[in-house]
Amino acid sequence: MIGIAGSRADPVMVHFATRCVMREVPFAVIDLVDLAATGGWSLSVPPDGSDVFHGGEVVRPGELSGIYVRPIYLGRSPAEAARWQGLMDGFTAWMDETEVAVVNRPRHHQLNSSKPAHYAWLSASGLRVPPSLMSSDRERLAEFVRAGRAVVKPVCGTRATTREIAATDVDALPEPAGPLLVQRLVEGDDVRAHVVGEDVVACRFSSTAIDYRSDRQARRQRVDVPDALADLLVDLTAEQGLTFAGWDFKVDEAGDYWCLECNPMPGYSFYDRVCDGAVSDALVDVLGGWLS
Amino acid sequence: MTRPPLRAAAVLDRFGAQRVLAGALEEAFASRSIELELLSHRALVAGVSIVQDGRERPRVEPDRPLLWLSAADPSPDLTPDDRFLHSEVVAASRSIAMLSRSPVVNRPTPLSPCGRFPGSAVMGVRRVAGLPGLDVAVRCERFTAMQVGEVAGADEGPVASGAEVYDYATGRSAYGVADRVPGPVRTRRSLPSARLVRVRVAGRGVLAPGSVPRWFETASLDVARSYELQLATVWWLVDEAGRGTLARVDCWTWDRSLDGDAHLIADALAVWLLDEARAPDPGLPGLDAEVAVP
Ligand SMILES: Nc1ncnc2c1ncn2[C@@H]1O[C@H](COP(=O)(O)OP(=O)(O)OP(=O)(O)O)[C@@H](O)[C@H]1O
Repeated sequence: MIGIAGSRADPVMVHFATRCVMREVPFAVIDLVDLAATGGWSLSVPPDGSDVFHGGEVVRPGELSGIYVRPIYLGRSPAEAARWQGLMDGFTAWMDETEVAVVNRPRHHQLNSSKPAHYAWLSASGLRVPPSLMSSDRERLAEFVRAGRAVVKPVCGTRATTREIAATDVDALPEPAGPLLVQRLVEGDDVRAHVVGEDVVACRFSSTAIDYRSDRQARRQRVDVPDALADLLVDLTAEQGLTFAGWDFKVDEAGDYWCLECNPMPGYSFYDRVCDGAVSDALVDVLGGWLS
Repeated sequence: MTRPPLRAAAVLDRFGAQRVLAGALEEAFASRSIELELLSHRALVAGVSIVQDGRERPRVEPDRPLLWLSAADPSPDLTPDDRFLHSEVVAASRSIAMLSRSPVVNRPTPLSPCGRFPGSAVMGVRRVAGLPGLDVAVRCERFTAMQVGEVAGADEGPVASGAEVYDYATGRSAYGVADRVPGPVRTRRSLPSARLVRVRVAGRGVLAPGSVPRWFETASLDVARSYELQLATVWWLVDEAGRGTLARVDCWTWDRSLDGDAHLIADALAVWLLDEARAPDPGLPGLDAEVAVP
């Protein structure tokens, strides 16, 4: 049986559970938000047979074939935060030591939330990454932007709309309160490749919008990325301590793949619909060891 | 000809929780002729750019030795806009510390904002048990929460006597508590006859009470090294036979736990930085290979 640990309010969790229902794969829900708020639970490190979650259902995590976890905190009050913290401390330490397959284990790269270092790692790992500049110096930023088309995006990688920026925009900015990250704009289609263990499932989008996700008319289709790239992505996903990752690329006119980022907790449901559930199926294969 | 003075920066809470440490660093670095700037994360980020052209190794400008002594600026009561700015500054300063070619004390890595020290205190202790070549005892742990509304005083409680108990609800630790608390709680076997011993690792040196065997100094250095930390505090429970159980590892250093060690720490870090700045550039593992895109 597969454990789904997260929140019922998370559409990605609902999407995966729905796929499990369709495929008649047994699963148990570990609603971390409910458990933290009102449930009882007990977890030990090293894990032992008494580990249990008393939520909507009683789940013994050590008996699961695998766990797909997306911890998203939704509480507000200090009391809720304290209960959440206790649950997360225990569950994270448990996942760090359990033999059960976990997507993704706690011991993985966190570079995605610090973009310049992320780019350095991607680039040193053999991927093509668009040139970039992080700075608070308006003159340097303007110089970068004058030298070619550029986008501006958050340094920390929280979801904010990436947009094209012109040199005149830089001049019009108030003295930047914080750092700005500008990157050379790559024209072309977007490819999102999901790696699950050894599998690569990719889809391609054609849109004129800078962020194709805001474009409902974007053309979309499942594609194969070149073999050498697929192999590299599988290796680099594992190297980051991840089993499951979402890789973003732009593909230019020459067909070259430019890596934008690797997301360690991909919200993949949108892409999975384009790929007929292939990503969920790959997750099921990794987590439901008993199936094979 | 004299060499130009070394210029370094310490990133810490100089007006708050690390004021004493900051003062000690200023003195120690001045006495060794190192120019030291004390910076908040915000101030660090305001003055540094990172250039990546996709072909050469990333450039941090200016690139200078850093003492990476906090993960973020203090952030009480932020508005949503300020919270975003705060995250941007944290992200930017972490990249600066990761990509600087100059020596960095407690340099963040892809795995952690402080060396390779894991995000939770629990894992910080537990993972040491798995280190090859290091025979360190750690305790089993149990985390439990009662269901909300469950009646206290029933037969079986999650909190056994003879345990060391941390209660998340109150933020307090107690020993041998048998009362039921709603929790969540973190419990470990208590070692009533053991004494708590603190060993500080600073630079290449170790500050330990004279009363503990040398083994604790070596083991503490090994623990710090395994997490790639040049500054850390390693806490041991030492029993009557002189055997140690690892109790806690702190990767950040705050004034409240300095106990008069500030000057020794500061000087050890100055020495470490001088040594490292003279050593040849070892490169940044995994982050700055010359780029060879197919
Ligand atoms: N250098 C670029 N050139 C052209 N388009 C880009 C570039 N960088 C980003 N984009 C577009 O903006 C989208 C979002 O960018 P990116 O993935 O870097 O930021 P994000 O907001 O962190 O995204 P996510 O929500 O996936 O984490 C990309 O999928 C792409 O379509």
